[in-house]
Amino acid sequence: MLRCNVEELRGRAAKLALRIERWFQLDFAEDRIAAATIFESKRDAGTVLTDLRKHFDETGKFRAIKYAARRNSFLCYPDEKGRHGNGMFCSMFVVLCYQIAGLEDYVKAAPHTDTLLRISDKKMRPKDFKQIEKDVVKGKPGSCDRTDFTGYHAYTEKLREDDPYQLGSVAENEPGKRRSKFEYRPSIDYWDFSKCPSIATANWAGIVTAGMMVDSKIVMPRGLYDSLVADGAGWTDMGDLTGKQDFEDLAFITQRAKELAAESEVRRQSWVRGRVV
Amino acid sequence: MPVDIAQVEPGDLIFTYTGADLSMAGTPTGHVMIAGERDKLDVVTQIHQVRRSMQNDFPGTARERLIPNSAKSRESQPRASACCGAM
Repeated sequence: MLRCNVEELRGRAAKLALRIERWFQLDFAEDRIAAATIFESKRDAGTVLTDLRKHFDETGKFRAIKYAARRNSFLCYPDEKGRHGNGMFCSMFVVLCYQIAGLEDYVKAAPHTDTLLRISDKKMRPKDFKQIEKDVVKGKPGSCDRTDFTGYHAYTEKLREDDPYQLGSVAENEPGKRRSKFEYRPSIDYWDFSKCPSIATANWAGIVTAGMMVDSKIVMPRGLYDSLVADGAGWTDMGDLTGKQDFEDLAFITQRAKELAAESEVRRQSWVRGRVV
Repeated sequence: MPVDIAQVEPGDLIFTYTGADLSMAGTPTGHVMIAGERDKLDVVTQIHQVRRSMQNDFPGTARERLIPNSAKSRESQPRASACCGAM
């Protein structure tokens, strides 16, 4: 068991996890865990951590910002036809809980009442980038600087690549179709530049801990474990769990789990229909 | 040094294995959960899972317990957010 040394961050992450569990449950993403598994399996222990950090710097921090902007509603939106979104896998979810918790002070949250708003970087078109770039050139208050624009643009380009992590057999490429019903906003708009003027030079280790500086989309439990253990300042390995077995009634737990899932599904369907429950 | 399950705090990360199927041989995955509230359903459920792994008597550190995941065990976790609680 590993414990975050930053008590406030730990508490925030737990609260977020519970809120998602109780309000906006996610599906389990088989395709995503398959991609992450391939990523890890193609690297030896020595290079996994290095590559996880590298991908955090190139794409993971922008991904963290995107999910932080979504934090008041579904982390994975229902698709345009109202079906379930992509979902996540265990380590992706855990990492994002901590990354979002750390970013709460730096990333504005999209209003959960706007059911047609989507924080989505895949949908950005060339003219959207031109608009962002114009603001950069003008030095418009609240806009990003050139370095962050370049980094964000590179991140969105990777989202469109067939195989951004060089996995060989797993492709991800969603057509950038836009439907007028929805408003798509870039995640970088939600970074609060008044609080922190640069994404590139932000103190990420201080915000999410160095151990959590991994790209959530490709980190598996083992890679995460290695990353956290390597961050002695941010994390403590508490050792193996032991102790007296003292469980609640399993039938009750199972029943409660079903109820939570059913409640979440009702909430999702209502949200898809434009009604916030 | 072992830590008693009663000492689990909200936000603690619990690493465990979820299966022993070698269908994805060479690709250790394992499982990680985030603890919810103490003395509430969320933590109890996680402890149940961890305890189950301990009952299977896999010795060593959490790292050593990270063994290849199985398709079957993943199917038993239909929701990623369930990692923090009810399964």
